[in-house]
Amino acid sequence: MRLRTKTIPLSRALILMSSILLVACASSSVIPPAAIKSDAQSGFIHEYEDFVIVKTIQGDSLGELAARYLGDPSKAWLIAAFNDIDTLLPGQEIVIPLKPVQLGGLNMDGFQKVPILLYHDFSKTRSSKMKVLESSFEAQMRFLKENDYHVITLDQFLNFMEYKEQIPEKSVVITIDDGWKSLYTIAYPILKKYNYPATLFVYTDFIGGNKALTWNQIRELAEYGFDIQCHTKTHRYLTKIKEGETFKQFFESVEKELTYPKKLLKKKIDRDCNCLAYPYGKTSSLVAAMLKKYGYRAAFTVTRGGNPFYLHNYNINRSAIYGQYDLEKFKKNLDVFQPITAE
Amino acid sequence: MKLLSHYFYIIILAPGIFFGCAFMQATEPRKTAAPAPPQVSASSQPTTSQSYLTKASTYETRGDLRLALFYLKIAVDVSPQNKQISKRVVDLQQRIDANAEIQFKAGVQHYRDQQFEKARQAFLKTLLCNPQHPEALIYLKTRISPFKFLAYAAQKGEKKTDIAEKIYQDSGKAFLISYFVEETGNREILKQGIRMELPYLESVPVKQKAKTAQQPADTAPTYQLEKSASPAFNIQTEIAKADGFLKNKQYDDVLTIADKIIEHDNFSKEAEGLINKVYYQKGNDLFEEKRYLEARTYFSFIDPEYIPTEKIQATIKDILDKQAESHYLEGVNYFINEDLKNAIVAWETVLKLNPDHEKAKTDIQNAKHLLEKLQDLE
Repeated sequence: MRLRTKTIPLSRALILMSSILLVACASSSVIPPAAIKSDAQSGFIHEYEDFVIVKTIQGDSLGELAARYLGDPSKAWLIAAFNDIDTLLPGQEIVIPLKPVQLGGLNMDGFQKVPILLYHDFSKTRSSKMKVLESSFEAQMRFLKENDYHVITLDQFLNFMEYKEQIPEKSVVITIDDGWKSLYTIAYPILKKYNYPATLFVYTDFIGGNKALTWNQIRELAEYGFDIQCHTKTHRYLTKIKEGETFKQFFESVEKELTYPKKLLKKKIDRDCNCLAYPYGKTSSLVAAMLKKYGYRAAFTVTRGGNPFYLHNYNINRSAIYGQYDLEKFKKNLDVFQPITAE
Repeated sequence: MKLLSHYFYIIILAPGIFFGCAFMQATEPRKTAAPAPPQVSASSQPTTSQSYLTKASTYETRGDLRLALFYLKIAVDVSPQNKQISKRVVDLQQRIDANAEIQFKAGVQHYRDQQFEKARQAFLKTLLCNPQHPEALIYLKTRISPFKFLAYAAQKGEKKTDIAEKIYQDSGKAFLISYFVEETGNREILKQGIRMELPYLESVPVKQKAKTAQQPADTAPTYQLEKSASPAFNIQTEIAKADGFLKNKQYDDVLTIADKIIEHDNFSKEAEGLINKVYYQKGNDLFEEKRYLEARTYFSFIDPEYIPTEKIQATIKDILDKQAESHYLEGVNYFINEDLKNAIVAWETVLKLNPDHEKAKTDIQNAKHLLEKLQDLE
């Protein structure tokens, strides 16, 4: 937590140095004082390496401060959460941490969990287990909005999992598997309406088929901001040897399932795929070792439950949302916190 | 540990020595955009350390030493001349470091005892004290893992086929050794001491002695399979129970069992069958009670691949259409008698029964428009 040196004038630095020399051993952690900087726009500011103290003036907003000090207006929540405020009042003294202070969403009470919702197919008129009604999907997205959930990108989620970045307390990730056409006609307009990011896991042999998305549609989704990732080539079980298949044939087949979609996505939409959704959610130590070899960053099962940061990146949970779910059942998949057990 | 390096960005705590007194300080470049250049202003007011000291004390009392330290450090920055605060920072930092080490050691002991949940809790507490404790992170993120790997170092003159035989009891799996060893070239005999991490093949028994006797001491198994706490789960037993519940119309109990099965297998056909049966029976019950609207909802949930419901859905549609028509005429009568409010209520009922009733939609709009005009006149 040292003052950034570029803000210390030379004369001041010399005075500071001599003061420090006097007390060197007795107070080794003494840190030079901040240059008190006034800001016509924002009352005063004190800048340090780890945080900034700001006294707000009329017209300041959390978003503006986040843009100014954290380089991203969408990080307004971080300032709000740290100072336990919803809005700013003029004359308020607030602290803006410049480094994450709660990585992994870990605090005295417990730790954050991030639910990942998994959808497959959608329909305007008829639901089934894998097919969610348009009206239900709309109601679920509206529920997230009205109840202050933050739908984050897969990249933000993985930064959280890798203990690099803090994310809002009620964060949720939306994923959609396979590549059904109904994603484009039904889910896409609703996600756009709520400005929610989503990740699409495609199994590439399906694409271009009768009920599937076309490559042009996938390209459009990617350009809009969808994250496009791999769900293998043919959607085969990665953990079961087929009848008549030797172990070596099985191994080579799995290898192809993991490598081919990466190349195809690069060729078709010029995107790097570094995440995998396991077909049927099944994995094994062998598959995990192969994923590592091919540089996959993360892989996703269909085990229900939120994700604490400490889960292995190749064993990330997702909660499938089925067509018959009402809002009560949907809500049960939004578990965002777990207390640490007391001993 | 090499395996894990790409998962984490670990801030390295570099020891700094200053006039013979050593202290540790976190070093990381500031990543955020620099603020706008300050303007000269007479209204600039310095802050005081008192509010931050109060916050630090509050957190310290609650046992959240990490946040207490954060606020104490702010207080030091705000009042650098106050030596007492600086001393508190040093003391608190020492307490935190000591706590972190106690928790970490406890975690390692639990891990060695294969008490993985207790180990996890201890490592989490370690990180609560020291969020950048690299070893606690490694234990949490990768050692307590569902994946099992065998760390192995090739011995003098050992061939890939020998290792495959030793590890997988199958020299035909030598191709796996080539695949994972990452040695350039295609030599049959591996360089002595070359290390590899070989995946456990869940369906292939592994020789116990290969796991232990062949490993150099510093490459003890880095991965462990977490012991499952749940008792054996038998789908057939659960389905038999569910069938009993179905007969007794205990539908919620059936759905609970279906959920339980889905937890074990998300794509279970048995679970899907149970769910469809519940909706079918519930739909029939409601149909018999003449609660056609609710019955329609339940039948609409049914996957036609499981139970065809076209006929009964068509019957319900006929009944509801007739009811809708009757309510429509009721609305017309209200309208003729200038009771616009009740006309709207009747036509809205029509739309509940038949959402595609175009005349009711138009008439509601007209009636609402008329009502507004009348209210304006009043």
